[in-house]
Amino acid sequence: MLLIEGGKAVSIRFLSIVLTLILFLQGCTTQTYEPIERDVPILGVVNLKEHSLSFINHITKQPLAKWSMDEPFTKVQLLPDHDTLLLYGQEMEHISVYKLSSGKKIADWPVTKGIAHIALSHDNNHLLLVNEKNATISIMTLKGKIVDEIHVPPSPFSIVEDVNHKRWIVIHFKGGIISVIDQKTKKVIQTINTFESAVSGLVVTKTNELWVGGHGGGETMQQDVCIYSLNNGQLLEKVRTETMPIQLLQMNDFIYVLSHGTNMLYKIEPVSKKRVRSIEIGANPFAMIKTDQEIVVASYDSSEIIYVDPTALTMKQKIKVGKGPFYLFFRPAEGKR
Amino acid sequence: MKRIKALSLQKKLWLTISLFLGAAVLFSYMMIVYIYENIYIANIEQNLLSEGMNLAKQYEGGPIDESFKQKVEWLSEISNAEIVLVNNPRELSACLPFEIDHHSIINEKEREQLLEGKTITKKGYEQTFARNILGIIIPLLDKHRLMGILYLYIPLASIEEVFQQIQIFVLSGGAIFLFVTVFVGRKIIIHLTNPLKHMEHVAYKVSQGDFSEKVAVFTEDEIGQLAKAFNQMSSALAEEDQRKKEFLANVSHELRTPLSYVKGYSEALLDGVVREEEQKQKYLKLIHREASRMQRLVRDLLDLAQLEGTYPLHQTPFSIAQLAEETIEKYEPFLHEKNIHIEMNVDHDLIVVGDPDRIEQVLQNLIDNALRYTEDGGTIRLEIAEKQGKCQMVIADTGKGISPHDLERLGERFFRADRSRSREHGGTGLGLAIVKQIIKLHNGSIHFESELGKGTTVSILLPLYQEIR
Repeated sequence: MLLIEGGKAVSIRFLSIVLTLILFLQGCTTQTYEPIERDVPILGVVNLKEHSLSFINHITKQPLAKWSMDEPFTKVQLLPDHDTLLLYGQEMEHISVYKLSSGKKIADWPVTKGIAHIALSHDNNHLLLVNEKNATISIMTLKGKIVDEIHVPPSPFSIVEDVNHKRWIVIHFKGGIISVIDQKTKKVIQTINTFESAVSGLVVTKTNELWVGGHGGGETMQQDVCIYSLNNGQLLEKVRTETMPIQLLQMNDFIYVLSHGTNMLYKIEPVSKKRVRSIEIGANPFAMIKTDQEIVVASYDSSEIIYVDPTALTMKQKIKVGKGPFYLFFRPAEGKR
Repeated sequence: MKRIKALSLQKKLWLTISLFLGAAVLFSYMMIVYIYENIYIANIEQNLLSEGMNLAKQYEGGPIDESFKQKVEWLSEISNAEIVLVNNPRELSACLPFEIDHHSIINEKEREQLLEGKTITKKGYEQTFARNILGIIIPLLDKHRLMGILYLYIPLASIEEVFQQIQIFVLSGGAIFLFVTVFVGRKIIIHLTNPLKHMEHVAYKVSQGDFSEKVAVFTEDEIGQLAKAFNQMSSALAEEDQRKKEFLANVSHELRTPLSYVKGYSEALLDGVVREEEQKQKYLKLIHREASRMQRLVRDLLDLAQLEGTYPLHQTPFSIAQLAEETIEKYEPFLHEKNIHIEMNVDHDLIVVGDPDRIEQVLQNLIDNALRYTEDGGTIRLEIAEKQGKCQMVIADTGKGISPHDLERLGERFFRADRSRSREHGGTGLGLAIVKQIIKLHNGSIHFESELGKGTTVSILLPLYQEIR
């Protein structure tokens, strides 16, 4: 009815302006996901096969929300504000920054392709970006500004902090090495030989050791966790944790090792290196995290997460999540930091 | 394209048959390949699958134990297929999504399928076994855990061995078949096309004027019929040629006689042999008579030539009775002179479609003939009536008649029933030929009846105006 004779030209212009405005507004609107309230303790799951995030209410153990994204992210990192979530992946040229409380993306921090791991520094002031393709460790502020870049040997895959010695320890996926960076000089001060396709390390301060787990290279499947001295980098011992121990964590004076090849979770006493308990868990589990009370394991092939009692090492509960849970994070309730 | 057109019929046929045969052999070969692919291989696939499934049923969950491994080994030994049990997580792509530098037996996608409990069929080169295989992968699942796989395969080489034998058989059989049929086909084609070649040879001779040779007719098929038709055509041509020769001989003969008269008498006059004035006048009259004869002859020849060509008739409906009466009127003096009585019985209602001038020519020629051969005091009868929806015109005389033998030849050019008398009577010998041609052009018919000593009757049928409408 706008196209009345006489006012034809004006009406067409009006229509085109409206249309442009609609398109412009649509372009500006970013997708909003279901917000995650700050006072709810949550367990976050990265579902690799479907590029989604599952949020589980940690108290009720009920699924809270699921965010389906169209970005090839593989892991996430929660910032100390317990609200800002960074999504990153080897194939991404930026870090996607989301606010859990609003369910909105707030920024894209440009990075070079190849980010394999992001860790929060012990003082909670910086982010450590491990770039596997570039063989660098970048130090980034919590605002997304890169302040330093450390060149390391090829294929760095993950990073842990040795607080006592003020060092960062980098686990390399290829090349069978571990490199040690001095935090002050920001230089690699030592490289330690280890097995191929190592993926994670754990600093055990009580024994002054570095525990390293991984896949093993080529046809060889890694059957043990290798323990190195933090003093001199010497291989101290191997603890049999067949097969392919890829995740390590310490909780209540015990070390927990998750082996994805045999779907086994081992509980090890760190001094005697004795396997205290073990349990067959999940189907091809890749990720493990500790919460306030429990350990949570992500079962990749069965698309579920499993709550485990760390003392008895028994399964408490299984919760269905999205396809291919690959990475976990835990956010305690507000005020319980 | 031009090259193909330039090929002989024999070669074209041979080429076509060879091509079709080649295509048929190729098609059967492809059919066998298809059957091999779809039935033989599918059958092997099905066997592998059922064997594998039966074996997989023996697995009851949990870690794969020695007894199961032994079962697999035992079956592998007695089975035609190679059976491999894989329970190494690395080979099962368990490390994906990590980029382990290792080629696993199954890839990530296949692992997904296996985790869903589906089997996988593989055909082609398998890096793990370093050869071409046909294989089936069956998952050994413990709930969601892919504890292992059963990989049953048969090297494609062993399957292809069977096929190679078939291939050799099919290809050699096909080649022999092709060779034999192409050879036999060539013989048949030569047999079929030889009469055509012979016809070509005879046609060439005919074109050169030699009608003596005929095409031999061996068969009753299309080629045999063609040969017969060809021979008929050749005979007709020969007859026509003969007629043409006779015609020329006749024309020259007919012209020679008056020319001799003219030449002889004029020479006599010129040489002064004839002195008497009366004699001179007689000779001059003779010369004039012969010259007139020649003129008539030439006119009739021209008329005939025109009528035999594409002569345009000026057709119009007209009263045939009126035309006949007018024509007869012109002959009144001659009839009176010879004391010939004319009997007329005409139907004035009949309207004929035709060229009135030409029909008048027909009447004149026929009345001329009747007058010429009817003795003094005779009778000429002219009847025009409707007969069977057509106009029948009858001209009958009481002349001396024509023998049955000559009756058949009436209407031929220069044919005269009585050669010696005719020329005397002044006819050219072309009158009836012209009549026949005009009637033919009018889609009519002409019929002669005669009895020696009693007279001749000519009946003509012409289409009526109503009939055409």
